[in-house]
Amino acid sequence: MNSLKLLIEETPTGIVRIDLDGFLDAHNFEKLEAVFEKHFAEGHYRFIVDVSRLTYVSSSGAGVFVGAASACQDHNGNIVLVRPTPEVQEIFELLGVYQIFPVVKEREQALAQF
Amino acid sequence: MLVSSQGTSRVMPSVQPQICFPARSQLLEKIRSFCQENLRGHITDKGLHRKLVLAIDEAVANVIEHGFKRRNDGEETTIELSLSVKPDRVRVRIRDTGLPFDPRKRMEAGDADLNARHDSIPDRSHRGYGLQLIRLIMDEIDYERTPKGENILQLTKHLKRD
Repeated sequence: MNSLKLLIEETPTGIVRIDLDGFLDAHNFEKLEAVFEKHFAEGHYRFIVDVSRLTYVSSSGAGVFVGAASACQDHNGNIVLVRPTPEVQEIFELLGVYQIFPVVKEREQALAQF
Repeated sequence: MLVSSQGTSRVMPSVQPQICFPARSQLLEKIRSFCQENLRGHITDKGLHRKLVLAIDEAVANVIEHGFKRRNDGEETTIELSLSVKPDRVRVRIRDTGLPFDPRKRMEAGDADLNARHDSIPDRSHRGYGLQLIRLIMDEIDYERTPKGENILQLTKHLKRD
């Protein structure tokens, strides 16, 4: 079943890039949560998450992003979102949390956010 | 197994498609597809269409989470989802035999947070977002626990006539 594919890459400067492909819902959100938790345990709090191929996010998925952003900001890091689809932007705006994430249109612009 | 039926054709003024499925979160994708297909053609506003599917997804996910995962007795029960689409409203009915769970009470507790628009992250508690979304999207939320031990959750969205 097409669900959620994650491509994870750590840069030499310690920034973690995550590419998401698929959907993020109440069934698979823990997959992404586990990725954040793993990197937090290693002391990484700067993430660039490409959500341009994320077709759907439910509240469970949005909650992962909000919780992770909170942890990152507590450690002077953050989560930069790359090119959110209208669906992703919409749910974050509905929940009133869209503005807590730096958003860029191209991946190359993300590094400048740190 | 998913069982669905559709009472009338899409060209009719109202339809009442229905689907029954086990209370398993891995079926949420198929349930969203069912809703997308059955709302398409009736809801021309793409944004509203997306929001309705989202609200239904959240409601079903809540039923699975609160009604069945917590019950922990190994019994697998089915959930029945019905869509009633009329020119002036969409009504969603979710019937299950899980633990009693009145989402309206949980929503009241989350009111203060819902009314806030955050410039920074308010706290790390991000549970309850699903109920907030349902409340933001739907116009009426009704819940009943029947004497037979069923939960019936009914969500209504009023539609503007063209």
